[in-house]
Amino acid sequence: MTRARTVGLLYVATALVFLLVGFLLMLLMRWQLAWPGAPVPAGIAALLGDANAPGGVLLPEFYQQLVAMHGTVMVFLAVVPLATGGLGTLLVTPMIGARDVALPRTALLSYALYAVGGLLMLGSFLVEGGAASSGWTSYPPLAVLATAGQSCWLAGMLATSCGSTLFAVGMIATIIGSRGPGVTLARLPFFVWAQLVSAVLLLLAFPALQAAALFQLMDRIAGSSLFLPSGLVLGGIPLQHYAGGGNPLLWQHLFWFLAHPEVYVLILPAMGIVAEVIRAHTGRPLWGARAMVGAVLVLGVLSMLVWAHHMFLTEMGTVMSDVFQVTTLLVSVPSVIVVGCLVLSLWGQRLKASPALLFAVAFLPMFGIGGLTGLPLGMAASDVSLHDTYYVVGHFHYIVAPGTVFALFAAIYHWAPTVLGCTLSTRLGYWHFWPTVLLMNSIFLPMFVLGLAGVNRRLYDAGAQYALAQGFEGLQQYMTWSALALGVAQLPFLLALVTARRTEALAEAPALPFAQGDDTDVASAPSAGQVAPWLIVAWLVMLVGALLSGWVLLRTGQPEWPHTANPWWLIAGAVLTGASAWFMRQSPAPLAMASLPALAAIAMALRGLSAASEAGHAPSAHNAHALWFTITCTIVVMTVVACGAAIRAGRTPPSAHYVAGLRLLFGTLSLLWVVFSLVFLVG
Amino acid sequence: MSNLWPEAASAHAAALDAVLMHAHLHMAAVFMLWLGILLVALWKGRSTHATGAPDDSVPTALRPVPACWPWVAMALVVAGDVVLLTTEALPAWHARMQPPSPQDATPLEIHVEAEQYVWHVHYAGLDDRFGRTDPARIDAGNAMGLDDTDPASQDDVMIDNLLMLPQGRPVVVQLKSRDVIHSFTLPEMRVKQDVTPGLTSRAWFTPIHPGAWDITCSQLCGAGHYRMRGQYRVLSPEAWQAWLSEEVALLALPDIGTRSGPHAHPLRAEAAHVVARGLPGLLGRHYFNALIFGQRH
Repeated sequence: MTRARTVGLLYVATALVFLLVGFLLMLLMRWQLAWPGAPVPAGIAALLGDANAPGGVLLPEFYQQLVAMHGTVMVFLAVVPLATGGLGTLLVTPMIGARDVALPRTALLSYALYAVGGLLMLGSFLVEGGAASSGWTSYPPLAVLATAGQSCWLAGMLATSCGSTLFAVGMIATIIGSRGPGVTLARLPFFVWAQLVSAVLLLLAFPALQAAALFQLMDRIAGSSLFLPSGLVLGGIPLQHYAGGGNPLLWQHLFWFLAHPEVYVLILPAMGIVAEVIRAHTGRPLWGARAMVGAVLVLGVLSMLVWAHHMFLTEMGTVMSDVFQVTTLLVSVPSVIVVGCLVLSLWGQRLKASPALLFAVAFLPMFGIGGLTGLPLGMAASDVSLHDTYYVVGHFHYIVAPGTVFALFAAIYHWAPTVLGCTLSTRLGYWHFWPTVLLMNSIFLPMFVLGLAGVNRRLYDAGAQYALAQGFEGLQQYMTWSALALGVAQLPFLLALVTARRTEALAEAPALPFAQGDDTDVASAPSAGQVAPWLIVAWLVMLVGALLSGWVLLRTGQPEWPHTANPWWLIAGAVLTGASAWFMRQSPAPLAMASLPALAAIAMALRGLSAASEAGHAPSAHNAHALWFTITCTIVVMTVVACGAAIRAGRTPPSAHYVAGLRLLFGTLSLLWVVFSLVFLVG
Repeated sequence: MSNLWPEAASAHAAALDAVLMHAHLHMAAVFMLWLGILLVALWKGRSTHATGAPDDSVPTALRPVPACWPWVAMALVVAGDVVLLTTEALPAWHARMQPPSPQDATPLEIHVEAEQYVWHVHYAGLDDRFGRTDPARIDAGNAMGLDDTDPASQDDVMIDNLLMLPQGRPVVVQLKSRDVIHSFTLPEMRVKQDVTPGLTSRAWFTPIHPGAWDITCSQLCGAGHYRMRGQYRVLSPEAWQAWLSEEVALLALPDIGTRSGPHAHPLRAEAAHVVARGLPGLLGRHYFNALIFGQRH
């Protein structure tokens, strides 16, 4: 078994479990929405315990935990890992004619971090006060003031997101550096392009959330006020012992800078799956394959330029809202190209029905509805009516639930023979497909009705106290019955998995036939070992950039900005880390020796940290100190990791690529030290 | 299903509704056209062969796609987007973001402070001047922390969860939050404004016909988010003035004691009643609706 198969199957199995967990959390929510205040069945009530559901009636606090954890589990632990770490790892290597993933240990580590992060988040249901309850968006100050579960959420998110970063590094390095002979970039299947762009988004967008999570952890644990403005009054009592001066909008910018691209990470692999399934069923190349690749690249770029359309109602100026409305509507162009090309690929072709094709084709109108309903949300004038209503819930669920999840089902039916060596029953597949497509729409279509009527989301009693939500009780119950039935409708799928017929013996690498020919592109491509350090450096730069963006946002408008520590400690750190990079140029010098100056730099930074705390410049005293601590500690940790890599490699003769990569890493760290010290010198 | 669409009761509502309506027409047209193409392709391409590979020997009735098709489709979508944005969405939003000019009519200014799960409303009273407020003075009887030593504060009226508005006069609501992010929402006015602690936001609108509706919170603000409900009423200018005078007169009575909270005034008592109702109130919801919304239906 190749490492790609091991890691891929681990990802698939774990993500399917999380998918089930997310589904069950949703059923509890839907119970409460359909019959507010009615006790859940006795068995379930016993499971939830009196702290969450006394007498079987869900408490508002517990309901909000369900809301937050359903979203988190589905996005970060189920759908994205299934589509990228699972199917991406399993399918990309055979599609590019690679023997295995390029960086097997990185792949395993990424899975381990994902699993640990997921368990940490789920386990937080058991801590005092329960799991995170501030929505999957975790807006401060609410999230900062929340119970301990929120800290578990943040720590779990850091672990899971670091797993995503490592996955992205491995995936990009594999696609660039491990292609088989003949697999030029022009011949890469569309699925691989989609995975490549998704991985780039994961690599470059996640640092924003990682920075935000570090900041929020600082606020929660170190007592800083990065997201807490001055003058907070809780329940009539002024909040004590905090410095203030923070800005809640900083979180929203950082969070959505990740979370919008994250939506594209959900959808791009799905598009790739649907394209491959259609291609296999028509037996012809995709219509406009090049245009589709171009469109996916453009989608990737645009996805990082639209984040503030989630924030139109935060009193944003018209210039900024104009820019984000235009970029948001631009998204429709590449989306139309992709979906249009997929439809035209079906045009005039003989089609042989199969569960895989049905799910793939059903994806198209479902994604169409999800995408089109983004239009009125992306325009501020119509967003006023729809913002935070059920319309939004319907919109993104059409993208993810009938959209991406249908594509994932298509993938499982389609690739089970090649990946698992067994074929799923076609008859059961049809029994799975038709009820599923009907019920998915029964759940999500009414949400647009509710949203247009003005019913808000995240309401514990489904808005029962509001006049405009009156009369929708029947619709809410219909949605809940549909959700329950959707659960039952998955039985044929489980049955199909259990009764799958063993087909021919599995080929270790079911390589696709590639025309031999012009190979210069593949031959001249950098190897995975050469690519990976650059990817890590890109991630590092984005991470420190995101941290520094917090500095810029909080520094502006603050007349007082105290110095935390002597910035010369940092300059010395820069010089010493740079010296390490320079020593590594002298290749005979052992790496462990070369990393000594960097170790000294770490010592100097630690000295700076202790000097700051001796001077009373604790993170809780002022946001200047909090930022200084966060950024210094981040760079120190990265330097420690880099030194660890150097010392570890010092025992065995490392390859030239490894040394070059380390040199790059130390050089970048030195540069980041410099930038960081300059920022604090100027500040 | 009484209401599939909240009433449009403010001057700017029609412009925003038009954007929403036209966006949906555009979406429906695009979706139908594209779905039609998909269905034709599927119907014509359906294979009668139950097994085996796609049978290419039998051509479908569909001719190959002319290369210009996708470009035409894309041009249509882009043209629709551009028209929608430039002729409606952006102008409507720019107009919306323009504060009311004092030349038309003196706007009525009202201060609203949000906290977990209450909307504190502060009216300037008859002198149109807001008294000084100080968070240190906040207590059960003084929800806004009004400074009694300030002469401007003498006729200031504070009520929780009740916003009284005159018809036909521009209103500017100054919004602040004490704790977490709330979102001040008047669905029938097409007003929704995030209230972020540390920032002072403003929302403006002109109510155009009388009625009584709910204030909702549209940003998750804690476990009690679902019950952060207030009421707002639009009265004729005369009735509104009469109400304000009555409220100010109530302040002069020595036995009132507190500056906010449930008072003898029937509207205040009702508002306090609304706040007091949490989940247990659900059981008697129909009775409750008849009580509160009786006048409306």
